[in-house]
Order: sequence, then structure tokens, then C-alpha cells
Amino acid sequence: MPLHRLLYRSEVDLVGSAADVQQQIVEIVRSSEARNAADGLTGALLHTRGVFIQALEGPLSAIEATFERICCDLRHRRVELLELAQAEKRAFAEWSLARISADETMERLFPCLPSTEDQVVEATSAQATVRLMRALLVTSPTEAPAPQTLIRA
Amino acid sequence: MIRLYECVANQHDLRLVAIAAVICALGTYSTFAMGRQVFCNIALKERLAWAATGILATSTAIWATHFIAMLAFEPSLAFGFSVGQTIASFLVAVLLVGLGAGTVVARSDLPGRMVGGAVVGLAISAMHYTGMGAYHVQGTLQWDLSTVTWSVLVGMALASLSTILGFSPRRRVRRLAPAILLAAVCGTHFLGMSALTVVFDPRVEIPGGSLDGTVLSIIVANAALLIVGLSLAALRLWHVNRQRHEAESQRLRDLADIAVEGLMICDGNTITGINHSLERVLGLPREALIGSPLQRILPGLAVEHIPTAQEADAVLRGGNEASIPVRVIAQTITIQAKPHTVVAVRDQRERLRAEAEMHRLAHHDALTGLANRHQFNAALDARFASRRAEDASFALLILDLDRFKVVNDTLGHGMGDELLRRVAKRLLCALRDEDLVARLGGDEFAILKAGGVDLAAIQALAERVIDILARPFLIDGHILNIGTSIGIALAPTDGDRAEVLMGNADMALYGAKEEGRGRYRMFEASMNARIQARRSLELDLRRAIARQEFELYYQPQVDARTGAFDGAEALIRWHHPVRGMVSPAEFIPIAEETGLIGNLGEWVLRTACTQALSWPEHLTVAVNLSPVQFRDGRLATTIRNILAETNFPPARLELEITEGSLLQNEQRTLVILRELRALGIRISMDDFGTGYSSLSYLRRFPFDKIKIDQSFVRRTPDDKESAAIVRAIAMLGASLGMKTTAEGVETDAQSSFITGEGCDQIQGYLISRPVPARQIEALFTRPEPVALRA
Repeated sequence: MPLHRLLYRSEVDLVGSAADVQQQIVEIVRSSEARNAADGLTGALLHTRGVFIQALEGPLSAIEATFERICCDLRHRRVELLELAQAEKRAFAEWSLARISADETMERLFPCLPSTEDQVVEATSAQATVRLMRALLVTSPTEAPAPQTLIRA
Repeated sequence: MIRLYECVANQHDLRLVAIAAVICALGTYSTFAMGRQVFCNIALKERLAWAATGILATSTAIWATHFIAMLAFEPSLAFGFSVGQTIASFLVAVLLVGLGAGTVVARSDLPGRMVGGAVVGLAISAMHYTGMGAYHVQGTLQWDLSTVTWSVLVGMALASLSTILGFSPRRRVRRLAPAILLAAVCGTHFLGMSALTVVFDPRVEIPGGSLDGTVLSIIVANAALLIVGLSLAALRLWHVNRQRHEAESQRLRDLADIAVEGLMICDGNTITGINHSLERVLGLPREALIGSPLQRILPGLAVEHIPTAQEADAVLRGGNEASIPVRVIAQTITIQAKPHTVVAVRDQRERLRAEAEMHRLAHHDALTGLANRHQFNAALDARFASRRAEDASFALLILDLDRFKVVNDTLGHGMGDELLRRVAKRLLCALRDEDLVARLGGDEFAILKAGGVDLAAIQALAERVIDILARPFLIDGHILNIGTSIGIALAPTDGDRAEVLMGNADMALYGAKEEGRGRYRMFEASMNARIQARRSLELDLRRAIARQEFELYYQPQVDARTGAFDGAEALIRWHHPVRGMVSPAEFIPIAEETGLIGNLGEWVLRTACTQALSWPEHLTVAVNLSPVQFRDGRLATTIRNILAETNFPPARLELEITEGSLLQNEQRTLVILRELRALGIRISMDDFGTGYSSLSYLRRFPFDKIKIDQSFVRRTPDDKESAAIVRAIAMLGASLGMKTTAEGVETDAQSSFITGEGCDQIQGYLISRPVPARQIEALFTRPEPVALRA
């Protein structure tokens, strides 16, 4: 079964105060983690400035089923597929779904975030996004604790 | 004991004693045989009859035993019996035996049986000593009181024992009962006799009217045998009858059990029988129900209310209090001379399930499980018919998927079906429970949005639906991007009838599609006029072929190098009686949508072939084929027939197709093209450079000619980009061995540029506008061809 990776971006359509939204996202991540673990999926969810960027990797059928569920979910708006391609190996093998909260400086690094200059997402920028997400998880000591703790976050 | 022995052995005629014993044994046997009947599960009347018979048989036996034994008693003196007391002794026996039996029946527990038995024992002694009162002998009777007491006690004890044993659960023990009762009778009698001493007294006279012993014994023995014998015979007959009856009942039960439908026999409102089928339906064993009132399983239903002519609906209460829908019908039958009611109970669950399934199938779309058009229309009609204020205003949204046909055509119906299923699921996610969504057919869906006509809410819903369907669908590794356009009409302002509202929502949908898909449009009254105009054009188009309002114009094509005519392209013109000349750009799309293009295309081909036949033999005629025509699998056959009909050589026919034909179903189109090519017809790729201009199409089919779209040609030679494209296509054609034709050549500069780039053919206003058939014929048959200014 070849490994696939999917990257999408969507607008967050959650209502409530910032803390409420944060809490809802924690809930989403928690339930997704359990499901992903059961489906053999790994991935990461970046939430910043009202935008989700999520990477999912694993068997194609599980990715398709999960993505369909996301597409039925009205807590997202304007779901946009950035990449669906075969992958050599998992970039987020340690996490069923890692949650990344990027700070402002980090946001500038993400090519997939909507900016005034460039709305077009190329395959290279999709890959760059995945690499950045991974780097954020692995290296940033303040944002990302050890993978094990993060899973339980 | 010795006295007893001596009494029996020496003072009695043993033969008569034997007869007495036999009668007594028969009697006691019948006592228990009848007794059992009394405890049988049969009618009360019968039980009473058996009780009376039993009592009579027992008393008779006791009485007869006594008197026969008395005859056997040989006091060696004259003796006789007084009639009155003999009869009285019999009545005493009947009375007391009856009392004893009654006690046992009333209280069949151990104390009851003991007392009852003792009373029967008492009956023996009472009868005996009353009977002794009737005994007259020439002497005086002297009684040993202690032996008398013993006789009474022994009789009571043994009789009591016999009734105790007679009810034992063990058959062997039960069998002892008659013998013990026999012992009680004989014991009482002979102990009583041994207590008696007769002292001769010649003064004593036997009173007149006494019965002679021998006569009495014969009467008594016969009467006793008759009564006991008849009772036993009756019992035997009863048993035979009962066995036969049971066999018959069993046969009936078996028959009833074979029956598929549930059957139950009721005596009044009491259930007396139930067959297997009904047991199964109820989930209860018949033992649990027999004897219960009918209402236990058919609550609220009385036997007399169950119809006999037509089944009635009812609810059956089964085990676990399950309610089972059934139909019941009753019939009166006679069982054992008593009217009973047979109730047939038909389980309706399977039928109701099937009906529900049929209803579901009739009202739902089998593919998506959504409501179907039928159901949706019914809901819409119900809305309009409703008198409730909150039902009066609502929104109707009609959706049409964008790009669905491409998916269906390119990836197959299986993929199309899966896509529709997912679309249905997403729609359900975007709606609230009270909104109704239906698949009207194909890729068309409709939503009935309840809850008034709050514009913001309706638009939010439309946006939600557009958003959710614009998200990609990932199916088996394919990324499918479709989308939807939505037309919205509001009731009652945009229509107060279902058809009107639907029509207006449709019109709004049409508007949304025209505006560029992936958006929604609210219905506006002005849409009507535009669409009406289009509709009337459609109607006119249908009539135009019959009215011969079409005409073919021809635009010549010339050899770029020599300037000689190569042929001409046939172009359709419509002379509308009112509108005047209608542009093909206006009516061809309508013809394609309505399918009229099939007839129109045939007409064009036939006319072009007929008219070109009069041209010089080396000239070709080019005819355009619409992508829609390729959907008709008989296209090649139709063209072959037209060629045969008109006698036009296939080599002179050129068919121009666009990329659209290959886009919709490449495989099918290629098959048709190969067939046409095999006939000798030439195939051109029209409008090349616009659209996808996929080089792979050129590789997949060896076109005879590529026609460079006029939009490039017109901008040459000044526009560098267009010039480059023209040059590239010309080179491409040359390298693939396909001719190239430049369309829309209007100036000398264009002509010389294009010729310079190596194009083979030129077509355009520079040579000639499209002209009617008569004119093109004149042009072609002119001796001198128009020279090109090279």
C-alpha cells in the first residue's frame, strides 16, 4: 500500500471567544487523534489567523475517507486541496495529529497562508509547508514539547 | 382372629362368599375407576355424572356384598329379610358413600382423603348394621360389642387407607387401593359377623312379608352385577370414545399446525386451542395461553366483534409485550356439539415491511437515498395546500452540479454514481433537519427550505451549499472538482403553485449558470422575458427544418501557393420569417441542447453532398460536425447512407470536428472517426489553437488537416504571439504530415505571411465571403479561377 500525503487549507468557521475557539480546536484535535490512530494516519494541524493547514499521511483510502469527513464539516470553510501525492516516508510519523500554533514570525514563513501577493500554491510550496510544519514540531522548544506530550495535548 | 376365621370358614357357604367377594372386587374397582374420571379435566356435568355412577356402583357393591355374604351365613336356622330395612340399608350406603366421596372431591389433600375414606368406611359399617336390622332369624342375635367396634374401626381405617393410596402418584400403589377397599368391605362384614352369636329361640317368629333369602340373593346379585357391570361398560365406552375423540382432535391439531396462518379456537372469549403458526408469531407456548381470555393476546377485542366476512386490522400482543400488526377473521364451528369460534390471525409484519420498502423505493432515489422528484413534488404540493401560516412562505432551491457530465463521461458511470452519493451526503450536512432535499434526476437536486423567507438565512444556506460542494472529492485516487449553481425562488411571491415556483427557480438556476457557475441567483421577474425569448426561439427552430428556413452558404478554400480552388466549407444560415437572419452562434447551442442538432446535421450533410455534386470533380466540400452528433453511435452509418443516397464520392467529403468531440468521450469519438476514415472521408481538426489544443489529440488520430483558428490569423502578421502560434501550427502540421488551413484571412499581408509560413490552404474574406450555393457553383465553374495576389 503506497503512502500518500494530503495537505489542505481551510478557513476556520468557529464561533466564540478566542479561548472558546482554542478549546474547540483542542477538542477537534483530540477526537481526530483517536480516529487517525485507528486508521493508520499521522499528521499535523496548524491553526493560525483563522486558517487551518492540515497534513495527513497514510493509506490513500483512509486519507480519502478522512478528507471527505472534513469536507462535510461546516466548521471549515473554503476547503482547498493543496496537495495529494505519494510520499516516500511519513513526515509526521510520531504524531496521530500534532497541533501547531504558529506565532507571528512563523506565520510569515508559511507559503500556504493567504497573502496579498501570492495566492497560487505550487507543489514546491506544499512541500515547503510540510517541511516547515515538521521543523516547527521538532525544533521549537517553546512551541512544541516532546512528541509524546503533544499527542496528549 | 380365630373367631373370624371360624366365622368365615365354618359358618359360611364359601361359594357364596366367593361370589360376594367378586361383586365387591368389581365394585371397589369401579369406585376408583369412576373416581379418576371425577378428577379428569373434563366438563363439570360429566364429572358429576361419573361421581354419581361411582357412588351408586360402590354402594351397590357394598350392599350386595353384604347380602350375598349374609346368604352365605349359615346359622342353621330359618331366616328372612325385611324389605323396608333392606332398602334403608342401601340408602344409608348411598348417602354415606356419597358424603365420603364428596369430602374427597372437595378436599383432595391428605386430611381430606383420610376423612373422606373414613366416612366411606363408616358407610360400610352403617350399611352392615342397618342391613343386620333387616335380618330376621328364628332366634335372638347377641353382639360382642368389642368385636363390633373393631369391625367399624377396621372398615374406617382400611377405607381411609384406600383413598389415600388411590391418589398416590405411583401407579403400583394406586392399584392397591381397590383391593384395600375390598378388604375394608369384607373386613367390616366378617368381623361384624364374627361378633354375632345367634341363639335359637323358638318363640321368635320371622315377620311376614320378609323376603326369602334365596330370592333376595338372586335379585341383589343381579342388580349389583348389572349396576357395576353397566358402570364399567360405560367407563369402557367412554374411554374408547375419548381415545377416538383425542385421535380426531390430534388430527385436527396436526392439520391446524400445518396451516401457515395463525389459528386459534375460542370457546366464548376463552382460548381453547392455538396452532404452531400462532405460537411462533406470539413467541409463546400454547400451554401458556389455553384457558386465557382472548383479550390477553388481542387486547380490546371480543370474539363477537371479530368480523366473519372481511379481515379486520388488529394488534396482537405477543411475548415480551410485543405489538404485532395482524388481520383477524372469525368463523363459527361446532366442536363437541358446542359452538366455538375459530379465529384466523394473519401476521401483517412481512406485508407491512414490503409495503414500506415499496413506499421507500417509490419515494426515494435509489442511488442517494434522498427523496425523489415524486416525493419532492408531493411535499411541495402539501406546502401549498397547507393552511398553516408558517408553511405559507418558504424557499425553493434548485441545484445543478457543474462539470458533473465531464466526470461521468470521462471516468465512467461508477464514478459518477459515487460522486452523486457523496454530494447527497454533503448536502445533508449543510442542511437542517427540517429542510427537505431531493434528487430530481441526473445531477439535479432541490432543497425545500422551511422557516420563512428570511433572505439572509436563505443566502447563507446557498453559500454553505456552494462552499461544501466546491470542496474537492477524492475518489479512488482521483481529485474531482465539481461545484454547483443554485437557482432560488421564494414562495409565495415567486409562485403560488408548485409548477410556477419550480419553473421560476429553474429560470434563476439558468441565470446562475449563465453568470458563470458556482454561484446562486434569486429569481427575478425580468429573467422571465429573456428565457421566454429563448424558449420561443427553440420552438421556431423545431419548425424551421420542416419549413425549409435553412440554407447552406459556402466559403471557398484555395491553395495557398497556386491560388486554385480546393473546395468550400458549408455554413448554415437560418432565414427566420420574422427575426430575419439568425446567427448560427445563437441557434446552434440551442439545437445542441435540445438534440435538434441530429436532424439539422443530417440535413446539412445531405444538402452539401447534393449541391457539391455539381461542382468540378476535384473540389471538396467541408461540413462541420457538432460534438453532440458524436453521441449518436449511428453517426458513421448515417453519413454512409447519405453518401450512398446522394451518390457523392466520400473522397470529396471533409468533416470538420472540434476538440469538444474528443473531450466528451474520446474512445467513442475515435471509433466513429476511424469508421469514417475507412469510408475514404477526410477529417479536419477545426478551430485549432483555441481550447485545450492538446497535442495528444493530434497524436491519437491522424487528421488530414488542421484548421488554424481565425482569431490568430486575423492578428498576423503584426501580433508577434499570434504570428508565432500560426508558425508553430504550420510547422507542426508539416512535421505530422497534416495539411494546414488558415481561416479568416482578410488582407494581403495576412495571406503572404501565412503562405510564407508554409500553410497549405487559405480561407477568408480575402478570397470570398460565404455565398449561396448558386453563387459558389458559378464561381467554381468559371473558366478562370480567381488569381491570388501573392
